[in-house]
Amino acid sequence: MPARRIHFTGRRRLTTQDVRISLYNEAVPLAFEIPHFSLKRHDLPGDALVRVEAYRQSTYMPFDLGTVANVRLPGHLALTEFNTPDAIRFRVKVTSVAEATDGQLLAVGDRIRPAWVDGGQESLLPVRPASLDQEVFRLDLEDEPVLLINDKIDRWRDVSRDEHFVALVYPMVLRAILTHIVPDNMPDAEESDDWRFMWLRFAKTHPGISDPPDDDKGGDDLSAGDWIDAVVAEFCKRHHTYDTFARRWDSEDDL
Amino acid sequence: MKLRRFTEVGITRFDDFRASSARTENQLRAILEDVACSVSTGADIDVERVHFPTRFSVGEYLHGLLDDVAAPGVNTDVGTWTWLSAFYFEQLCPQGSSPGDRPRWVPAVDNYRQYYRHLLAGPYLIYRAHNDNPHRAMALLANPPHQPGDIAEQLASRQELVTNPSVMEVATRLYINSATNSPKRGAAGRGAGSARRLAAILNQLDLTWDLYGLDPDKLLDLLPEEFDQFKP
Repeated sequence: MPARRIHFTGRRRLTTQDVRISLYNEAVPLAFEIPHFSLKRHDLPGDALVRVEAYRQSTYMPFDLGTVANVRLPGHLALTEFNTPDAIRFRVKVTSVAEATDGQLLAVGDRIRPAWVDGGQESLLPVRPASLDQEVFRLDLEDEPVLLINDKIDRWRDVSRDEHFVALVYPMVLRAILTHIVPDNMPDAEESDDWRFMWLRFAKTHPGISDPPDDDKGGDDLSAGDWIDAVVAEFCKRHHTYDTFARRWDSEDDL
Repeated sequence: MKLRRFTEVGITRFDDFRASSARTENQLRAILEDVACSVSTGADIDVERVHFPTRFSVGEYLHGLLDDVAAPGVNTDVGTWTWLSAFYFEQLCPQGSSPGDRPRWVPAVDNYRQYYRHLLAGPYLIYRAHNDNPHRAMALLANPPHQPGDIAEQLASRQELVTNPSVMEVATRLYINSATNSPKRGAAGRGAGSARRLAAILNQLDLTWDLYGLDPDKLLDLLPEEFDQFKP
């Protein structure tokens, strides 16, 4: 199971209070800009270097932004390595150039979700086409969850919205994601932008679902497995997944 | 021969060809020449039957071939790379060896971790990322084309490592014999100071240090004692 993330003392954590990023989600190529950037509250050395990195899974593009005292915020920066806007995240790094600490990270903001400028919004579960050979779909949990659909399907996006696909696939997807988070990979309370926080918040929108257990003890307390079962059950009720499947299955019997 | 790109039919036939236990040169030629299997890329590029002794030579040749072309997207096109894999099949799958799994032949362009495993696109991408000084990435390019090796397996799957000039410089200084341009003994595998251990240590260092901006000498100094045996 993935370990909890470790905070290192002395290294500042940058949040949306310090930096916000906008993504031109329909531009070709995709592009971003940084409409808000301020490090004033962190008391960082003026000569420290600033860089922003765009990434998704293992794709990565770095952009130098100058120094703390003289940050350059160019307009549109092209994201030529990315072909779709879903699940692109940003990381901002401030690095020391002082002799004793040259190269050390002084501040980091990670998993920054950009705001989409050209309309629409990013789904909680981004869907992307991928070369999957004979797999119809795959849930990628390498970083944030992404649902991959076989790119040989012409209307791959429609597939992800098809009610029968939702009925069969999404309960499993939800279970897999929550199992990935609870109980050993829980987000910190203040990380409201964190994808794990968003998924737990989504879980709690279902009737009768409260905070997840933060360990896997059984007994009188609800175990992680029981909590996840309860969420998936409520999700299925909300979306009438069995009824949807049964209706289709029974109608095929009638043929 | 003019560069072409496989259609879906061509990719499927090439998949079947590789899976067969009775592959012949004639079958391969038929796939390459069948108009149902491939179409023009739209770029007028001549591909030659060059011998590639190393992945470096693959990257060098293909970078020269593909990077200044008028047809954009050629160098990220699945059909084009798969056709090239078929064109150079005899070198990429020498007699008596097994083709291995699909990402080695049909590039997974949407997944960087898999993309680098392609036997031609992998060295091409590495060479392109370091085209200002491609020898810096020799640690990932020294092997024969059909055997990427453990160093490439450990370091090439993360784009932020493979595009990092300092990391590549350090890997090459550690693991490549500068006299012979071949990997040092012990660089592969799981032992102390191996490439696998370097990838793990870099993951740890990444939490505290800005690896992208670090000077290679500084990065070498940060590595623990287990790497001393490989340091130049």
